[in-house]
Amino acid sequence: MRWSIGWMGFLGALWGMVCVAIGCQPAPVFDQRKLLQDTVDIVILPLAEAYVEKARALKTAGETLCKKPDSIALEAMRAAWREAKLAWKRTEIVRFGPAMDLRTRSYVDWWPLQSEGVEKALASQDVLDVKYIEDTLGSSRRGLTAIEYLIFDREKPAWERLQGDTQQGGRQCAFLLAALTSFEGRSAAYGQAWRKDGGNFGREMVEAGRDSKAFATLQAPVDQLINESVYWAENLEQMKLAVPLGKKSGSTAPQPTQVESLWGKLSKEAILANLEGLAALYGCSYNGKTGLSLYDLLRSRGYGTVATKVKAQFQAAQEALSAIPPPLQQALLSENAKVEAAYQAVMELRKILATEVSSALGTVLNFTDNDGD
Amino acid sequence: MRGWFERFGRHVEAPVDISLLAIWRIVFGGLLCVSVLRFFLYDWIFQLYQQPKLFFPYEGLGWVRAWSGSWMVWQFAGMGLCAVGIMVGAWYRWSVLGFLVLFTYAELIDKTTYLNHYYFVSLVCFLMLFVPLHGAYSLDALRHTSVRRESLPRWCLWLLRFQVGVVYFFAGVAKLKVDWLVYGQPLRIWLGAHTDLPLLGPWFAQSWVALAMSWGGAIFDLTVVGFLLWSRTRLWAYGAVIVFHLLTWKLFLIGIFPWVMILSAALFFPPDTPRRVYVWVRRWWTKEQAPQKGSTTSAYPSFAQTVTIMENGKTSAYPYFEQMEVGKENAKTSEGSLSAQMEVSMGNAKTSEGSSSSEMVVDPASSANQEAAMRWGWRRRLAYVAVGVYALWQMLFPLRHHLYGRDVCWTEQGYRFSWKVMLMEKTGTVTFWVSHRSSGRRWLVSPRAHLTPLQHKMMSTQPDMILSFAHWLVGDFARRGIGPVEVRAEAFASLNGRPMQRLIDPTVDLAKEPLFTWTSRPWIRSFRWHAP
Repeated sequence: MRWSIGWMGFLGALWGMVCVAIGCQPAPVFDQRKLLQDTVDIVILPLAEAYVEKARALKTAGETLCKKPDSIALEAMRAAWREAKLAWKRTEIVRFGPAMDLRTRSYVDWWPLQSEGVEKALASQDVLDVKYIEDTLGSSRRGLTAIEYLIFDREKPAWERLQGDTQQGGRQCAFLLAALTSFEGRSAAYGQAWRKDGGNFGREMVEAGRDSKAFATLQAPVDQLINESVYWAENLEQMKLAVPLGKKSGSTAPQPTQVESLWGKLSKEAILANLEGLAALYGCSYNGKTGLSLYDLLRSRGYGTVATKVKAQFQAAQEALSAIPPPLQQALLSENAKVEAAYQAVMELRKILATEVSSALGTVLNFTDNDGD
Repeated sequence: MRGWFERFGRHVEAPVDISLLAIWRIVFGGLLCVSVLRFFLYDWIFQLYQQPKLFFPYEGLGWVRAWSGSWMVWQFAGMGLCAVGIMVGAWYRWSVLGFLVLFTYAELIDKTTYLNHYYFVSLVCFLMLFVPLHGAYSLDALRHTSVRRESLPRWCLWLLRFQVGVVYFFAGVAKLKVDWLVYGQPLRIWLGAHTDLPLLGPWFAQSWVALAMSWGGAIFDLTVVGFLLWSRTRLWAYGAVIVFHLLTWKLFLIGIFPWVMILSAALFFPPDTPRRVYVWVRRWWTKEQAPQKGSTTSAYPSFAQTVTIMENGKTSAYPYFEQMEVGKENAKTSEGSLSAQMEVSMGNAKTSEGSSSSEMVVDPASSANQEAAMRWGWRRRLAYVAVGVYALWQMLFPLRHHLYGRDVCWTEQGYRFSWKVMLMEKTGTVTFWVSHRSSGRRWLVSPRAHLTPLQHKMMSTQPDMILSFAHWLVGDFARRGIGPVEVRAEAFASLNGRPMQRLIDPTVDLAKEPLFTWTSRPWIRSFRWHAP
């Protein structure tokens, strides 16, 4: 026993001497809590607020249109829809927390639309109210996609349809108003769950590992952000580009009808908005404000090259997408090479996020404790 | 030679106190209960066995499938019941057998759920089938006098110690890699994610700390068994075991593994330790003096059964721990030893001098009985051969990856069942191209649509699972009336923070590759090494 104590004492003294010799001081640690605080304050909350505001504006535009259906009101409605859609696309990438708990996505923007379901509802005798929209109709028959279906031209111009609708009892407007009310309500609830004077979910992220029910460790929200970014990069690549390019249908021919926004013709912009949201999350930069970012975190862990690579790939993907002339469904036929280039750029982004970023940050999937050994 | 075997046989079959092993059984059974309970509490039965559309079976074990409906729940319920049986020592062998079969079956359903400590649990349960750990402190012993025993043959203890030693040793050998020893990877990555830990956290940001901990971990794994065996260092080594595993428990999501290993390392204490601790606590509590030499009158715990010892032709009954205390006085012991190694046999007490083990060995058998017991029958021969084969397998199987060549962390051929614990940070991503052979039509397939998040993550980095999924795709397309098809993978992975590399040769039709092979898989791209 004395022998062991002697050895332990010796080793302790040796450690002490080494410490003194090399000036043992823990390095200034990267402030991960500040990163989360900045990400919430600078990116997530403003994105959610902007979206809620646009959702409210869309509802108002819809009410105006149904009160006095003319071409000006219709155009205003379409503009409001575009703004709301893109605002949602920017904030949609924060798929966890309130979005998951409230199932926001299934209420506000699910695609592809089951247009037959909408037509069936319009033709039915059912009372078209919010309850009907939310309880009877499924995810694929409501939200932004259903609203888009009603206000944009299809085989018959929307204007004609709406005018005819007024003469036929206003079923289209009834559906539109119910869908808008549901959409606006769900959007407000989503925003409220993030707001500091509301659900304040951001606090769950910032207090991770300390006073948070949602995140057991400080690393957990960072893992969540990385996992989400991988999911979205893959979603953009596979669902929004590969499917319309015909890569998943066993065909070499493009599938223009498979784009996200078939009637509003906003598919390319929607992908860009998703990317914009993701880039804002990584760079912790939005509306001219910047904060401590995931790039800074990568640099602090000695992976500055990975940070540079990700940043460059975001830019490359955005540039490749911007080079596609709108609308996407048209470009698939006329500028297929440009769409293919955008697909390749997003694919490269997915690969980097899924491998190098995840590896550099030691991202784990908080699913079971099966990770690791 | 025969004489050597007999001496060896006498040595390994000499009885040792059962108390440590019996208490170990209770706690081990308790840990198994907790482990099974976690499957219920965290809804893992659904997530791991009911939610997946497909599984990744082990080669040749495709028939091991998840039960439909609620049968998996019943399987785990049965497992829990068996774990309780092990803990309380009720229908011990049936409980062990039941747990072994049910647990191993569940683990063999899907490669996704492979864990080193699950493998360890299966192996230990297998060994427990042959080791009657229910001889004391069990319901079986309470109900049947024939089951009760004060001692077990020494091999029972050493077989379990061997198994624990194998885990540590090969976990240490696996760490003898450039990434681990020169670059402190993957610990550098993992520690960097825990800089918020109180006290230690700020140090984790420094790369030299990761390197020091890497070396510390490797040295710990390689040497801890030796230090646990040596009585002088045992207590310190066990302290290190506790610190090491508590640290890994705090830092990594590795479930009950740290607790299993902390418990298992306790097997290296002398087999009579629980009785000694009991005596020590009791004496401390009652302020009682230690018994004098030759005294057998001290109070002793009711659970302690007596040991019959022949001394100078006379048979005497002693409380087990009392005898040990007295024997300690008589025996020639090493300084600092926890207990004397004493062998009472044939009427003479003697001590094995210089032995690193400090276990007390009591042979209650008479000379005639002992000789009868030592008879070199075919059953004994068979048992020795079986144990030898098992030990050899345990020592060689973890090294099989050398037969394949190439970096095992990259190819993962021979990675499982070889105690490569917490060895790498590997992330990957994969998509598949399925081509119709006659028409040339091509489909891009994202596996995410078919797999659970855990399966998706695991498959993305493991070539054999990628191959398995490719074969599943062949069947899936055939079911949809499209076939025959070729399947190619676009797989990329990053190892220990390196830039990603292509993992699978994208020109190879995986549909044609056999699921099982003894040789290296050429379709796994070679790893291009550079500093992480």
